[in-house]
Amino acid sequence: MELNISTQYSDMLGARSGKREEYPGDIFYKELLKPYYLKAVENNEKLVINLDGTYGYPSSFIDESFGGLSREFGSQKVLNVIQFISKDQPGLIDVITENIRNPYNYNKNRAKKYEES
Amino acid sequence: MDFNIFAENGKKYIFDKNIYFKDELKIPTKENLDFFENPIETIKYFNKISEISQCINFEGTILLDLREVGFISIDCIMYMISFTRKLYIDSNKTVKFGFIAPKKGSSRKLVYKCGLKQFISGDKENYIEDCDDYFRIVAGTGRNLNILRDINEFSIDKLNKSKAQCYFINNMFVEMMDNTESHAYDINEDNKIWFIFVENTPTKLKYTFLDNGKGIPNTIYINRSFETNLVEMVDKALEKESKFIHSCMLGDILRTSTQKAYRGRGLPEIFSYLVKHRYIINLKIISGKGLCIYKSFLKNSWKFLDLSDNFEGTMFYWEVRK
Repeated sequence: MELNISTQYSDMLGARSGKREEYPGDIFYKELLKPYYLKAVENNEKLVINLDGTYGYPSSFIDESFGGLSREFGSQKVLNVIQFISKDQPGLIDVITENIRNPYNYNKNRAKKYEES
Repeated sequence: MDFNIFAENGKKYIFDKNIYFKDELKIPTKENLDFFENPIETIKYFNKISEISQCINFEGTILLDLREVGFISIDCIMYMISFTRKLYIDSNKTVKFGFIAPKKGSSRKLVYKCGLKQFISGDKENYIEDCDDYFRIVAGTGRNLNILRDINEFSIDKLNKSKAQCYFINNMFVEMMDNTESHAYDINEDNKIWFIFVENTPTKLKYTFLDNGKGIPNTIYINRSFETNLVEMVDKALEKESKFIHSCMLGDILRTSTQKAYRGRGLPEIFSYLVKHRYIINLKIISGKGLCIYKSFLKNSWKFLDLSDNFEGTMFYWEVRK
């Protein structure tokens, strides 16, 4: 199963929440990411998410959608199902994966890294 | 500059409390108007204008007389637009604003090229020049992705980079727009407006984002049940707002009404583009009584200043090298 965010949702992504025309993370989660994830689980297949083609992924969008998926279903379960394609920005996969792995305390770890550096 | 403003029974008056002033009042200045290079005098000038507009017997037009100004920065022009708009609304539209352009050629040219004319009516001359060097000042509300798309395309073109390579510019603006919508203003405020300007120079793009909300130091929810650093709380209490803003940029203070640790990501993300990814330089933030200047990712290039007068809202400025 494949989900292409830029073509199936928008190439301009918004923040955590907002109006429909602002393409926020919560609407993406409810209408696309979660249903696709559940379908993939039901069919026992991988969900391949194509991240290419957008202008960027704001951190609040990532957290509300992918972090939300992790908070609802568990990080390990989500990581077992989802794979990413990101030719435009390979580092983005690590960012999203980290958010899925650590959906509750992501911010604190980031702040600590700056202080220690 | 003394306009005989006085208070009586909790109300402010100008000149004579028995007379309603309905004429034009010129407010001159000779200062260089620049919030980051000359913050104290610049804020004083605008706060004087605010004080006059709050006088209950003033119903005239305040003219910002910029004829003797040596230098005026873009951020000041933006603030002029946003601030006067806010005061006009706060005065129930009884106080109007205008400006008299600087005499000095470069400052005068800048004022007009920025598109100031479309926001404030001033002297009789009325042209806006299309210019390759600027993405002119735009105003919006919410997470306006149409405006952002235009800014992204302007940046991609001038930096000669791909869409993917400019992702951080997009993300910064989304988070700033979202912060304005979600935090900067009171929940019942109808017009949670922000302003953006982008300047193109031979070596850099320069970005400015502004809102006239409550300011970062006044939109923090301090919840003692979380591990909020006591030092940051004390800084806030002692009016060290610059250090408080800095703590928000680090992500140490939860700037979210939900108080959930995984939220409040916007400011730390913006900061990461300076310190971690090093995509941006010269990040400057002025908000409330705090001013933070981060010339680069190096800690010894960081400066913090606490102001005696309040900057109404929050302004971000940063640069991207070509």
